Amino acid sequence: MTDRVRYELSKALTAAGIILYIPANFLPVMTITITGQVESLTVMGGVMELYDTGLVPVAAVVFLASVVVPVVKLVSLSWLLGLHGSDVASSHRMNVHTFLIRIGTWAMIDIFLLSILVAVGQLGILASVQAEVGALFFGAMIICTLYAADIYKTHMIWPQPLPKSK
Amino acid sequence: MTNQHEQHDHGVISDSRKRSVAWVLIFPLIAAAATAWFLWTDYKSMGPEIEISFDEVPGIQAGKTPLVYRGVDAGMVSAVELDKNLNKVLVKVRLKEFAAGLASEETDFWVEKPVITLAELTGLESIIQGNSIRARNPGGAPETHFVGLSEPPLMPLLPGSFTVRLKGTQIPFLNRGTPVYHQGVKVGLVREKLIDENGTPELRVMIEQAYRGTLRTTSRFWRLPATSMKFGQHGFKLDVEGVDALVQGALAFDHFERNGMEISNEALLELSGTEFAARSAGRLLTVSFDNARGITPGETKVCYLGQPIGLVESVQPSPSSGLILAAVRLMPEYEHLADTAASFTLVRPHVSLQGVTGLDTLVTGVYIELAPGTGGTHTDLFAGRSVTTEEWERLQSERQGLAFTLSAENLPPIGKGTPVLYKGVVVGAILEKKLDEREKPILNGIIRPEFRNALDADARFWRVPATSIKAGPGFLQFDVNGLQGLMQGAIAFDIFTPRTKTAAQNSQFALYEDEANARALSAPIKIRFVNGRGLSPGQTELRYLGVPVGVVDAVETAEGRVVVTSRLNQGYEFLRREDSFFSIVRPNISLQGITGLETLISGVYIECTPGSSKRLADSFTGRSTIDAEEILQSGLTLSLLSDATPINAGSSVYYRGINVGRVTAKSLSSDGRQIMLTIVVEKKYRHLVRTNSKFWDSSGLKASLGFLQFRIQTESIMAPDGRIAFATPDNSTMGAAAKSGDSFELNHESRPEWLKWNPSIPVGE
Repeated sequence: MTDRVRYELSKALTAAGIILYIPANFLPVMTITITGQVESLTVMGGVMELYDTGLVPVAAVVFLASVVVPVVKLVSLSWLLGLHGSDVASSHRMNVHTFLIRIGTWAMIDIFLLSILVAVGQLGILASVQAEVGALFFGAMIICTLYAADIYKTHMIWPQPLPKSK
Repeated sequence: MTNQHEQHDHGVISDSRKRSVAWVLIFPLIAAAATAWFLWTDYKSMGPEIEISFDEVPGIQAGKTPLVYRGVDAGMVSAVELDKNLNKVLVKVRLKEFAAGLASEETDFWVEKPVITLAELTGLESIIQGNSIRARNPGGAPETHFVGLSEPPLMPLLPGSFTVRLKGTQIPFLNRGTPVYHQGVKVGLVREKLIDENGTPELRVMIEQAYRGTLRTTSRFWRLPATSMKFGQHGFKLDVEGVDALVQGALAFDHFERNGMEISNEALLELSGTEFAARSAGRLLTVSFDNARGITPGETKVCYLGQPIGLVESVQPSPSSGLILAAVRLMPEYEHLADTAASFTLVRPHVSLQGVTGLDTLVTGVYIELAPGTGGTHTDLFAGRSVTTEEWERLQSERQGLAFTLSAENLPPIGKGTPVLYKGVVVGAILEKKLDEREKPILNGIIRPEFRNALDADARFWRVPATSIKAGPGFLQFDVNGLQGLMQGAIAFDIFTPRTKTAAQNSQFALYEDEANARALSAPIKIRFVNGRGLSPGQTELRYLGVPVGVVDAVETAEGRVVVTSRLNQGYEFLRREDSFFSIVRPNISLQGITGLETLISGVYIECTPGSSKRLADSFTGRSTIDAEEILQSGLTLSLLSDATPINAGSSVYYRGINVGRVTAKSLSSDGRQIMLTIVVEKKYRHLVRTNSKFWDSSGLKASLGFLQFRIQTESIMAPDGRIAFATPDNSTMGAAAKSGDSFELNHESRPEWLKWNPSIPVGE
């Protein structure tokens, strides 16, 4: 795979991630039913719910992982890819990219949390948790950003002159 | 070359870049397509949004509360708002696409919430799943604005149930949801309880379609009380008609007439208070009474031969006359009884000091007896009579039974209802106790028709006491003449002579004190006694050989004597012989012994001893001696002569320590020089007395004081009156057997040799 292909693929995946981000945030990711009280939660709604319940640290972690990280990733990726080929702030971009790779997996914490909730939270009519389509979009969005960040290599930040001559 | 090469290379790269760009675009395209597709299907699954207005919507939340139709999520509340005037809640519901049909004008919407009362337990799932908005019965033109029902409908799935309206004077205990039963099957529910425009309460009852055929125009509804308690002669009865009925009562219906037709929706039927009232669905009869005391509308029954066949529906005074008009309905099958020949009689209980009669009416209240006649014509208007049960029974019995009148001197516990017995069988009853024109108590009685032949013109009546105790030596008899007899006694009659003819209606009879009195048929005899102590009329018996043969009727005094009037029973006329004698037997307790002990319990009696004369007499002189028996037994009468003796009449005569006779009299000898004791030796001992027998006075204490010896000889300390002993010499010198009237000397004390005599005296000699 050439750098060009990587670049284009990364761009495409980022675009797909941006597209998916919209339904991932506006559609509910899960439905919690507690003693008949049906509650469909979006990602942000889940954070609010956790915060309202008093679980501020958990809310903070989930907020970071589910809201901040994807947004930061999408924005950073767009920024990186937009500046592809130029030599503006190359060293900054490299640091950003390294940071992106590092935090990338944290975004999955939300999906991980949801999986556990759905698996554990089956208490019949008393309480049940069900994953909704939002989670699918969210997961797809995370995967897209993960690969987008991964495929785009650090060295590609630095513009390589075409081999004009041997 | 290089340029070409470069150009060529460049071109190749350029081409591959173009290709790779196109290939890479698939990811955002897929993402966009998925998003678009999802949003599109989401949009497509949304049906129309409807708006429902409610008075209140507890537990309804936008985005959370579903709209449920037949248990399926058919939509979601999208918004809950108040209207401008803050009077209504507007709930916006986004229907699902498949449920778009619910947005039609006939659909009912209501808020389902749990209802937990004693009578009703619904919407249980709402407790767990939260309240929801429910819909039913869609149909009609499309509509998006609705007014929600204020209460959940009773049968959410059966909108097409069939409704009848019930009218009743009062409909307590019946509420929404009260079950309706037909022959024990729940066929419907009370849907609504309201007051109609006329101000009368009305029930709207919903009958399930499947049971629609059970309703006819002739169907009658009645209330099943939640619990009914019956307290009557048959004890206490508690009915509970199922648990749901226990709390809220129930309705039932049935049809008691065949020719009913199918009923139309919203038909008007009648609701009765009880099943019996529902059954009494015949035509309305009007019975007029001059006094309707005790008649309770809806309670007082019309009875025919004791069986309830109808009910008084209402009682109201007649506007024109001073009568009370009772509206009566009979059961249809008995309607034919009510014609012009029939009579209605109000029967009341009768409580008096003599007792309570018509006890059933006390418990069940008064009732109206219908006595049907024959040959009457159809009518709806009757004139009723009102009587007490007493009168009624008499009326009834007079119609059928044989009436008689009893007269007596006094009638202590006998009153109305006392049974009349014939050979132990209750054949009639005393209906009335009153005074006749001569102020003597009389009893009016009746013999039941089936026994009227038992009452002979010569029958004798007597009182059977409630309980009687007959006691004597060796027997104690306790008679209880049945439970009824125990409480009030009874009257019995029997015929002691050959039957002559059956008594006529309203015959007069005398009432005797007891059976013995009644049995004594012959003319009374009069016996004169010096002392009548212990004699009581109606109680003291005449006995012959210990068997009662008659009874003392009256004890009077005349010419310083006691005159006892008594009657002898049939078959004992031989006791009236001229020379018969009568003596009073009294208990006699003295140190000599106790006689007539049985009279202690049974009272004194008069012992009869028949004479031998052929002539009969009515008047006798009685004796009050106690030695009559000994005389009868033809004992040996002897005279003992002594110059002085403390011994009195009544002292005993002993032979070798055995009592063999008695001193019957103490008198002076004919010349006055000596005291003569008349003794009687019992028949079985008479052979012991020989002409040479020696008699001596053995009474009292005899003490002899000797050297180192003090001896008290007491024949018997029990004989302060004195006692006489005798001894008979040994065989060679005993002499001939003594005869009645022989005289002996009474020695003051015995001689020692007398005591050693030991003769062997044969009986027959």
